[in-house]
Amino acid sequence: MRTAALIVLLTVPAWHLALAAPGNGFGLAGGPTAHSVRLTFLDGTSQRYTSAGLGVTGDAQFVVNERWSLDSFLSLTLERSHGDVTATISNGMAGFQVRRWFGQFFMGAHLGEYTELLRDATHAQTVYGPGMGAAVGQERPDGLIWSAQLDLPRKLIAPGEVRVGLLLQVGWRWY
Amino acid sequence: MKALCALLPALVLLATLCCAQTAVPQAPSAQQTPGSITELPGALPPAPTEESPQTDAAQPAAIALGRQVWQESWDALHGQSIILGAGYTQGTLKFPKFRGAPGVDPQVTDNGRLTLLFRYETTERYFAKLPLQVGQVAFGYNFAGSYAMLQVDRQLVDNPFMGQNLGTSVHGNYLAGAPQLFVRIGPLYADRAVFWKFAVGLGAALVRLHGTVLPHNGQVAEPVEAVDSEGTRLAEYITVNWELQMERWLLAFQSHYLQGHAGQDFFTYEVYALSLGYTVRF
Repeated sequence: MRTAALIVLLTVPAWHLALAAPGNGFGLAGGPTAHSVRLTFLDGTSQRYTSAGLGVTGDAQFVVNERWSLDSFLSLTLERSHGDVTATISNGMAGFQVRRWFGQFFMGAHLGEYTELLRDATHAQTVYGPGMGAAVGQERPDGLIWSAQLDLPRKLIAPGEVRVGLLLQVGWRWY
Repeated sequence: MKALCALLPALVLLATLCCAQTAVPQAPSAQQTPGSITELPGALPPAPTEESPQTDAAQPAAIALGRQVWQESWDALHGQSIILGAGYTQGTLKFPKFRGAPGVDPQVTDNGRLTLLFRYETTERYFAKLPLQVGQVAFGYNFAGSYAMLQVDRQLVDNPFMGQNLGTSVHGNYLAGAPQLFVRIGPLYADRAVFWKFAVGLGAALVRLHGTVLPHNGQVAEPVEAVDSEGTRLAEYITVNWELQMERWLLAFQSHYLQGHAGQDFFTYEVYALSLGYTVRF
């Protein structure tokens, strides 16, 4: 009984939070990010490295109605890798996300074009390719936003590669 | 604990009421926080409530007024445009089957450089529109042309994207044009002309290029071979643009792909660019 009461007590304020609808506007958010990369080359050799750092995203949100919105965004990160590749890495992304809203909270899925700029002591390289991802988050009426985003860039170098990116962000939307 | 249990039915009732409220289509209420979408001129008017009753006649009038405001932003897009700007670009020139030999594919890139942006677009035509809370999504078509320099001097050796200075280089330029299909969304704010646009075009380009390459990318000891378009040649052209238009300023993420023949050699040229431009409409 105590548990049920607690659930209800916690649920009621949550419902109030969930009442507001999404809004149009520019957003800017940033936070920690990490990528994990495994490359398998045609000769059978492979490389594996992970990187971590900070990322920033600028976006423009267009509201369809209280349940759906369209979000166009650009992300840029600065990371340091370790593993088989030790380098400074910058990941970029231009994407388009469709969001389903539940009050202030959303779930989104996106497609995008991904780039990776990798620079170490001996060389630098830029690679690019398409990808997709998903996100969950909240946008409050006062403008405060947060989100957690998962990205799956594809074929940036070779078909046999696996890339996963995670970006946690806090920021602001100007309604 | 007993008091809490006594409160439970009331809390459940309150939660149910909240659920019932969310089930109603949410034309934003007039009591939302400052800066919310209801205060934007193009937003839907407040739904009639007991606190703010509205007549049936007032609501369509408010909607029309809101639409009139953001429609001005769309109207401002009308006409032809020239976009001038600058950006960061990486272009890579490839010759698959160089001199007709399978497996011989010299590739020369620029490793990324600052470039100028010259673009022309005809008036946009729309064939479908979907309404948004503010503005609309429009599917349309127009024609876009651009001019760019081709300047690659880093040959790819053991890396598929970053080349090395091996004394080879190819220079030239191209004038490209393509009818394009696009989707334009906006405006972002009812009273500001901020739009997002994604466009894909398929067309042709006039290309002129000349220079030298090493036939085998890593073999510095072999003699360089000349490549020459022998004047201006026609090439196929594909363009993909991701754009954010902010009043007259344009932030564009673009990729261009050209393929054609330079003399006896088939070539492809891939370009990726992030640019900032200024739009002049006429």
